[in-house]
Amino acid sequence: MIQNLPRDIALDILSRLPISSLNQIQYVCKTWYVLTRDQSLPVVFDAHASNRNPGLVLHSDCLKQNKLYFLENSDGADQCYSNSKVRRIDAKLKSFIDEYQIVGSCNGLICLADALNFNAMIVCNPLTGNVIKLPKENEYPKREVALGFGYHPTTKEYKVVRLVYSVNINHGIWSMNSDFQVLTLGTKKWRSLKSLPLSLDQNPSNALLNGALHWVTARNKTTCFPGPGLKIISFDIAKETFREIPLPVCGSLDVCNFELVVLGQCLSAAVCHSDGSIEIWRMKEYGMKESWIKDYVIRGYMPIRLNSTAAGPMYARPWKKSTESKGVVQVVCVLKNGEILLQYMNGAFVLYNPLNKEFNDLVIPGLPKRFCTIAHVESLSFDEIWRNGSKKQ
Amino acid sequence: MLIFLFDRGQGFRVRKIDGVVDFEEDYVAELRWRHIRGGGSGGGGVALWQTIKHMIEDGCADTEIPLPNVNSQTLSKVLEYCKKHVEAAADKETEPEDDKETEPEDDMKAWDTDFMKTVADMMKGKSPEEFRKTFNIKNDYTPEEEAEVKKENQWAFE
Repeated sequence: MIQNLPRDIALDILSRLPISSLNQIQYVCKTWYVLTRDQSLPVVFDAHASNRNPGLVLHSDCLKQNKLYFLENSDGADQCYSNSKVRRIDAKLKSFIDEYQIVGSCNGLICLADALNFNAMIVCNPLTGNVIKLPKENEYPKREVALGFGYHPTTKEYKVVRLVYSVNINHGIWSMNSDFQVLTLGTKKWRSLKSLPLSLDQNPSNALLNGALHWVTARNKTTCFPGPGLKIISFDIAKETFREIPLPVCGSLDVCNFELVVLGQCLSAAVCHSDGSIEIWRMKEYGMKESWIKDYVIRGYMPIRLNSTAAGPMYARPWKKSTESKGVVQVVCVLKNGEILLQYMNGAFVLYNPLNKEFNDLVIPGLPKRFCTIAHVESLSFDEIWRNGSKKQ
Repeated sequence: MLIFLFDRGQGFRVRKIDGVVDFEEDYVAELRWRHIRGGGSGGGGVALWQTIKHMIEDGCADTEIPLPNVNSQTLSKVLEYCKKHVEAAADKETEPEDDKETEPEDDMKAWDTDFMKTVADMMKGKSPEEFRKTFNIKNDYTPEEEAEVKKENQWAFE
């Protein structure tokens, strides 16, 4: 019966599966092989993207050997991540980039930047292995870099941005220069735009909302850019303009300790307290100062895995340069059922249920020892982007 | 299109009938009861309906269409659908303004979604061999062809 299904129904079934299952299905028989290669499958597949819980891309750079893994979300199962295998997905990327950090994930694509000079960069679909090499710019000898990767739903353009800071010391007086560059995916040249007289946090922005990337201004004094008080800065990917986003009104917000994340279509600030508890503030109406609401208070928790492994506590997020100023918990994403995925030091994943305030330790076999995590929605969209991109060149 | 489904001992068969629909009401009731008792989501009615339609249109089944893998839950959905379809068609003739017209359409979508979800869940995490077993599919690859697919390396998994 399965073989005789109408094509659109069969494609719809395939588009509800994780990509790892498509990988298996192509071997079943020739009929199914043909379906996995159907030209309209990526479109149907991506139409289901908004119903999908995100999977996790794990980046481990232990001993200078960079490895990329994927942990899919087995939708529907009680233990949504622990039923899945941790799979290596970097076989096709190795020839493009060696040591890297993840800039961001957006619509099933991720952007990776060379960890040393941020010059070599790629955008890829890590699950299909398709890669776009971004054009290289001049070398910057000494730099601090803020990065971002995002998409604007109106213009349908992907852009990569980088703010490169350099310090000049002239007769004992130092000054900071910043160079702001934007690359539209599919074009060949980085464009220099008017930069921002502020120093942004050195971590890549992983708060993409309403076609804008969001950073907090640098808070770490060791970056030697004493800036004004902490701010949230957004960059509109279509208009290519910066804007300041109002901070939450609460005075108790420990401004040294919050990270931006998007939860349920709201810009959110996760505040980690020293006792291990987390407050999550969400801006219900984008850009409205009064709409910041303290939505969740998550009490301190000690995940099981922490007790049983010996690795040092700060290795869980090696790409974070200023780990000492951050909390011990990362808010990774929120699932469709409202549960919040947290990652504790040492890579222990915990699902928090805000309704009954219970924690659920996820036992995931095969996790790398040290890694950082980024939520990533599965997609087959690369082909389309590549075609669109080629037209512009 | 009018069809009639019946049991041949080894799975259900469907027969195209010209003229009047010949639903066996008792049989439908019996299948419904089983469906409820089974507690499963059933589903697949419309997908199956479309398959049947497709097969009939292709002329590959002038009189009988074998449906070896159809279970009673699915079949009951088909029967329900056929019934509704006919009722709606009858309603249309008498009361063209009636809201009921859209009902089968909505049902159809719901069934389809239900069916596709169910099948997708059955497919998740299965090896090609398990997959063939579940869906009664024959492997038509030669080892060389299989190696060729592997070489294509369409997805990034190792």
